[in-house]
Amino acid sequence: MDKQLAIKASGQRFGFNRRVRTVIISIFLLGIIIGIFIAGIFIGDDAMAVDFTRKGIRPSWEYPFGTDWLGRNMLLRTVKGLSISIMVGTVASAVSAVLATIIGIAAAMGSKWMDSAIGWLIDLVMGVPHLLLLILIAFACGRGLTGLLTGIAVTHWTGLARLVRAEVLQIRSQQYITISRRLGKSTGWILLHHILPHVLPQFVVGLVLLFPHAILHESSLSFLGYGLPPEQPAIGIILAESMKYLTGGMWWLAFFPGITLVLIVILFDKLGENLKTLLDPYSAHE
Amino acid sequence: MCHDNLPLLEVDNLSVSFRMYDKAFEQRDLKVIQDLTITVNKGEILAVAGSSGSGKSLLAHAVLGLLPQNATVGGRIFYKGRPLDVENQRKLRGSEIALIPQSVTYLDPLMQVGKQARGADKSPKRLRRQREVFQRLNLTRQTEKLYPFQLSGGMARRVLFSTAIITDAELVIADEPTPGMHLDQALEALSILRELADKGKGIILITHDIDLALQFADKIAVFYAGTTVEELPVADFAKGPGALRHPYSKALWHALPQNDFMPIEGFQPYAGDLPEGCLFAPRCPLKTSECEAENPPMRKLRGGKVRCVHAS
Amino acid sequence: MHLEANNIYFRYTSKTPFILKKVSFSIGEGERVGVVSPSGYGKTTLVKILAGYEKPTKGEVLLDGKPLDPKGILPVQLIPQHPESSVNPRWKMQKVLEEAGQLRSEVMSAMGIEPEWLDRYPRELSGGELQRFCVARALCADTRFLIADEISTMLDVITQAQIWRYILSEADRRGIGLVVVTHNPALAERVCARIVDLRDINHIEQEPK
Repeated sequence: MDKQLAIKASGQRFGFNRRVRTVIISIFLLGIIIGIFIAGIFIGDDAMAVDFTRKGIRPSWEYPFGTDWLGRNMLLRTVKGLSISIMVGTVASAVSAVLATIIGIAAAMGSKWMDSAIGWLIDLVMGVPHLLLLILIAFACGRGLTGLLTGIAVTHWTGLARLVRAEVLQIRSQQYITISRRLGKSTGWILLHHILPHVLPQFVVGLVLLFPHAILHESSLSFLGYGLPPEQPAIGIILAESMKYLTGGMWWLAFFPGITLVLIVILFDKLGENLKTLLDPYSAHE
Repeated sequence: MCHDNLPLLEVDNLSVSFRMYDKAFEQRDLKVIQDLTITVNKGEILAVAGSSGSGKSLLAHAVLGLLPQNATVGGRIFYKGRPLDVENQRKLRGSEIALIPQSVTYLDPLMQVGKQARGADKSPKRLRRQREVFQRLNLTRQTEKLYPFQLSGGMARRVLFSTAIITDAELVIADEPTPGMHLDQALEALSILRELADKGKGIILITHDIDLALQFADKIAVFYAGTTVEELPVADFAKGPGALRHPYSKALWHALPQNDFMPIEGFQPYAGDLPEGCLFAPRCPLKTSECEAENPPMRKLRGGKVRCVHAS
Repeated sequence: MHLEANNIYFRYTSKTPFILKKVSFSIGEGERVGVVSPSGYGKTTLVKILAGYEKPTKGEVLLDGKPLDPKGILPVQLIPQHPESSVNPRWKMQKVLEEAGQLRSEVMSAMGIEPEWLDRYPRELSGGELQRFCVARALCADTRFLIADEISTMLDVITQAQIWRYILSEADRRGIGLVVVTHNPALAERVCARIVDLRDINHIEQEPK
């Protein structure tokens, strides 16, 4: 107990202790993300509205992110693009995390044969360059949203699956699992009551930390033309289109969408880190 | 035993509290040690006995200044009559006051254990002493050249033990030194402590094993819920309940398998949920309204000390 | 009922030395047997095999002449030395008792388990308090043999006496056989009717380190 007590009480500066601050920050981060997502849904076709009377306007009070060569409002397009990215990211990382958990548990609980087969598969997926594999799968599944989601989902599960496998193996060897078996509990019961609750925090943190990857890959894939169709104002599409006009001095076309994308990614990363501290059962002492 | 000069170590009304999360989001201070008083003289082994959670290890850490930052310490500690402050603790730690810690993780993983045991002193005398102690604890010559990860749990414990007693420390604090050792090795280790005491050093032996304490100590301090309830010469424990002062010590005597094997009811209260007044009152057969008023002070009685208004 | 181990050999892999060699052991209904020996003679390994935690490399464990059933509630229950590692750290104590069907007020009051402990997590209880739960759990309705592996070594003497009083009265009432591993001669004397020294029945050649 003494060693755990050694964690220094550091968070008294703002009048809150560390846990309260972490929760407030997490809710705040989540609020921003959800806010952008909902705003994107309500924007609808406004983001696509062409108006040549206002084309190529620099960032101003009226158009904070400027307008493009077709006179489209870049602020609306960026928010809409981020909203699409968040949606794609959520679905892809959720599918990926569920996949990872199932595969990780199967590897740890199943036969030796299953474990080595899964280990081989993980090595295979990790061995191929990420973007290349993504492009291949997205292309094979027929581009568009389905191809993109499938591609991201089936390439991102490996790290988390390894983590889950190691975690389950470690729990499986615990004495209380043996006791549970000798008390007549079935493997299914043990999985549901002992193992899943243990893996859940890993799952949640893994899910949130997968998010930045999913978003970035969605954008790069769309940028390269293998992802979302060009009529969708996804960030990747916006950036790709802006390339042609950058030389014409329209720097704001790439600058604002790019920087907001990076900010969203950082938001998710911070959210993940905060959740990690909250779910750590040993942070009680300070 | 020499009582001619000041006691080696005097701990007077020590209290230790920790800042912790209480519910999910509220912090509060948890008092885990209060009114703790012990005295160690030169040439004496003081056994500190009590159940887990009674604050035994924290006493050791408080004396050495090893408590974590979220701890607050009250009361006074004197070493050779001088107050033991942070600066003194740093100066004396390892040279005059040595600790045998409870956990084997205190060994330096990157240093051969023989070298570790000898410390900074490179003299042949120190080397001879180290070999002698290793041999007595059944550690072979080859062990000297090993690194901690190559040792079994029991061997690591014995190395840790040697490390503290090879020094010329005046005061050795042994925090549960024997679990993990075989019985004969444990007995050998404790007889080494006994010899050190006979040479005029002071030893604090922290243990939950009363049998061991009885065999080797001069005095026993009985801990309960973070406080000392009785300090007594070891012979009194052998004489039986009639010679004991505090009802908790008597309860310990009755519960031993070689005596009645008869426990009292209930359990030690938690820090943060302590009763008003005497901490033992809720389980005490002698309880009166007087006991609930305040935690009674330590008082001298029949060559020992006791914290009970009814003891006679 | 009768529990017996016939000519048990045990080693972890074919490269490591035998920990148990040609060990035979038996205990009848309601009997109380103490197992003593210095550490290194495989006390813990033997009781793990008796309770079906480990499979012997050679030899067999028979309960009433039949091998132990790997499925279902085993009538042989082991209480391990360290209560901290025998309960799920993420469970509340209530669930620990529920798992064995022992969440009953008569069990709790006999065992000295306070109702408010049920709502706590294992790390919020002391070793002695946790060990009470482990004992209560191991003494579930189907238990015919109880194996205690140094269960009171790190407990204070009052808690030790409390826990043993309860085990002995339950064992008496239900005719449960007890295997008691301990290094405390006074405790073995007090609790057991027969004492087995593993040095006499374990035929490993060299002195273990």
